[in-house]
Amino acid sequence: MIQHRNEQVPHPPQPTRFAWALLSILAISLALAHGQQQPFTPISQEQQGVCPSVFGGDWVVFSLGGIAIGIIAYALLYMIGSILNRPQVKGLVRSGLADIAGLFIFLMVVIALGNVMCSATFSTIGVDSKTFASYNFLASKGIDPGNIPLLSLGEAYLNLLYYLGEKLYKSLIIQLVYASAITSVKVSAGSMVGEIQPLSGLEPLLNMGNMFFASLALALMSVSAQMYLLKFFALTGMPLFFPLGVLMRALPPTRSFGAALIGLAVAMSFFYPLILAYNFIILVTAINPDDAMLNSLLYNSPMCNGPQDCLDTCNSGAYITDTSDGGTRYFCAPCILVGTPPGNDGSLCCQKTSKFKNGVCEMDDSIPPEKLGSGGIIAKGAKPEGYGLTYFIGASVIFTVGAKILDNIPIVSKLANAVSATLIVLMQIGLVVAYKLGLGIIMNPVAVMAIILVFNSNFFFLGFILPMIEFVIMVEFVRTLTGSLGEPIDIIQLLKVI
Amino acid sequence: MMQASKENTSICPSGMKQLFLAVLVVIAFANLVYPVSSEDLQRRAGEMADILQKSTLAYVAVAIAILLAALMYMGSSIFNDARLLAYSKETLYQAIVSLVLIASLPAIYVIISQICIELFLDGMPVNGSMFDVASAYLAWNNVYFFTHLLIITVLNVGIASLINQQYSIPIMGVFATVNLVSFAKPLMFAVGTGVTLLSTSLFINSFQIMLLDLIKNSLLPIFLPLGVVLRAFPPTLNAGNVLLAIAIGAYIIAPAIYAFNIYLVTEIVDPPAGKTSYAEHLGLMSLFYRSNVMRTILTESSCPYVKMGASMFRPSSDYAVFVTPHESFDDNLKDCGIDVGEKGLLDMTADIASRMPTWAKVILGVDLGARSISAVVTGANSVKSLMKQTTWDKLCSGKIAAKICKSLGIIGFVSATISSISTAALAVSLFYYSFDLVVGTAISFVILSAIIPFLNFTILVIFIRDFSQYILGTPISLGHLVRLI
Repeated sequence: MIQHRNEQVPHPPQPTRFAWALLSILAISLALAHGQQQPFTPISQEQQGVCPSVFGGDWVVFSLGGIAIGIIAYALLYMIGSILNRPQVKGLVRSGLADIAGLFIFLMVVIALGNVMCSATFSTIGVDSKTFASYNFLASKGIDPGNIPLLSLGEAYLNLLYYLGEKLYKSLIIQLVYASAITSVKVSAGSMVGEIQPLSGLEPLLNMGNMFFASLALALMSVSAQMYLLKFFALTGMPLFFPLGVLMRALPPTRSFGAALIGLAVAMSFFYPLILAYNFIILVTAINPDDAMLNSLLYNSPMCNGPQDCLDTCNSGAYITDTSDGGTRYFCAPCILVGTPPGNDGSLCCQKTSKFKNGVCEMDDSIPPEKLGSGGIIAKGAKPEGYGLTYFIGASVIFTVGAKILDNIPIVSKLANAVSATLIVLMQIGLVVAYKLGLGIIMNPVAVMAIILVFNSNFFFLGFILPMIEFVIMVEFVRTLTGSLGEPIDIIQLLKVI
Repeated sequence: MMQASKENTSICPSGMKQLFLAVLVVIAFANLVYPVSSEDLQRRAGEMADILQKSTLAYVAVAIAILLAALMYMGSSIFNDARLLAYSKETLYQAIVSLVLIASLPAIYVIISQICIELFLDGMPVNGSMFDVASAYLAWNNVYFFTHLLIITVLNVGIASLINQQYSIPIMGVFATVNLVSFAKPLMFAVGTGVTLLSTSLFINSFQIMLLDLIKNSLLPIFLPLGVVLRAFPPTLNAGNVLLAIAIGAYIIAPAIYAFNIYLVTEIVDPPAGKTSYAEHLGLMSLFYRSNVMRTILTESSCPYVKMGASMFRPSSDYAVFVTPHESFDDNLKDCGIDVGEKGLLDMTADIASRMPTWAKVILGVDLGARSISAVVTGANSVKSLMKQTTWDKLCSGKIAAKICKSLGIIGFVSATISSISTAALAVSLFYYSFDLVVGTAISFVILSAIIPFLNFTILVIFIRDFSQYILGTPISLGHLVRLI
């Protein structure tokens, strides 16, 4: 086996003084070299605090202060040892000072690492961000992954993910409200036949939609929690835990705990953002988060290209200008807005394949059948859909609501009963004989719900499953790093205690 | 995560590596002498070039590791330190091992791909790489789940329109209520469950698509170089081994698993002659996973859904393919090799109606007739209430008219009763004749979304674990991982 050779690997050599000096020079030059690179603007103030600066950076100063306190403490101890003439104390001081020298080198390495993370970008390491599938989309959001430092990439990722999740959440609400509205349409048929809810067959799908809410809410909460966790790490890791760890590491009684704090701080401030940066790569290479579809769902309407194109292609003959994401996008005004009963204005109900003439939508067979993206999300699909939906809702309005309002006029209500009883039979016969009438109405909500479901699945993976796995990696990293520096911190055991 | 110890590392028998290498050499030789077409050679060259391109950073990492070993060697000479010398030799050795692993990856991948094509796909000339085959299969699963979801919803809407209603039958001035929903409840429950299963299937399948994308796009460019760098330092050797095992193991095995899935599903749906076939109990699966359909979607580029791949549910205008008028939907399915029949796959009413026996069609006719008479009686009663009694009497003065007018109450009662009974019978017959369809959802969930993904995940994890343990020497404790999660 390959690893069995490891058994013969000796322990790391004890460096000589010359080696110490060489390592120190190397570490300091590394720290200085990266510190002189082009500055950048981190996304948030919190993250800015993590970045070291050659002439500033609170945690660097405090850490150096901690080392200085350690040296002073050892100097005092040495003096006491000399006064009391205790050679053991002098020996302890010598080994302690060697340890502090090692700590100083480690500090320089961490500063170098911080500088690399704060200045290196995808472009620096030779990855062309323009090759990402979603480059244009990200660019429209003002995000160019190629120019964001590795440290801030995680923060950008979480913001982007939350933005997508929120949009998905809104889309789901709108779609569910719409589905609820159409499934609740009742056609009353008088006292003889009772009433039917022709689209209540969509209810199982609607129930599934409600279930999606649970997973979506969980994923959104997870993303939100990660955002706050990142802020917490940025505020406490390097600014607080690291200098405290250095100070405690420099003092003999608290050496072990200090090392654990240092390991924890490095994991929190650098390793965790690196994990998130990796997630960003997954997001932009594998998931392809173009949100045009989400916007389309959100506005309950398709996209169109500019005012004139919108006027030409939108069934409603109207469009919405969306500037929420920095750029300008156009969406067709929806044919039927949630909560708005269909009006008599033909522009609100006609399909692209039909035109409003003489008070009705007349089919125009010369126009090829439409696809989504041209006819409106709600009112797109098979040609008869608009008629079918209008019929269902119209029948409901006229024969259910109308009959109740006019209940005091017996003639009208009795006539309404008779007419609706006849119509419902006709409608049922129509549904049986030519089910195609109903298919367009059904196909659309099923397609939209399926698309939302797939989006939701992607989001759940990114928002919940991936963080769960990465939490395990993070916990193991903290345990290994703190263990190699001093006392291992087992977060799982700590959580059990809590 | 990794529990490396001297005890653990000695688990591997010393001859295992030699055996592994010997097997590799035999496979490589077999691969070289195996007759292949120029298209196959072109495909293999493309796959190898793709892997090489993705592994660029890993080669850089190897170079860094070798450089590090050289620096340590120089340091050991300067300081005359034997331990540093041993350290540098070990680093160099691990760098060379990493280089061998990375360099042999394209060949191993191509060899395993070819074996999978021969074993599981009957040597068919597939389009693109094995990852494309896997993507096509998963994309096809989505098409299947979506179509099934659509059809079952159509069925449910049909139930809601025809059966989900309440009758109030007039008997001597009193209304007797018959709630027909009771007859349709079993079917509605089955359909509700079917929708849940299909939605869950869509969810699970999308997960798999994402996992495949993840393995394809981000393991080699990221995990591989990171693993190589970590392997260069003895304290992080085990962590590096685990990353390397995940990157190489998953990249090799993931597409192979899906080739096996295709074989498994076609064997279930369309077994060779002489073997028991369960196709008739599989509902729509028997249409979607026939071997000729799978051949079409894997080898020809006529199927629009597979051409779109995983992006068909993704944000792009092309996803419109799912919401075109259903005639186009049927045409697209036809292009994918599905036998949609004369009436089209989505026209389930016509399909179910055509499969109904004569007695069921008679019931349907009686039901509609009775409903029409009921409606006419309701209308007549309304007209009567609006007229003066004398006008009504005048209308009923004729011989036949008088009989009808007298019997209006009875006719209303009889027609409503017949209508309710026939609708109930219709509900039962609908349930009977859509049984296969409804049961098909449950079976397809069990096969495509429970057994197969579970099997895939198990194979993937076990392969990575064993690759890490027996090839690289670092055992991964699955129990420890599970405890952490």
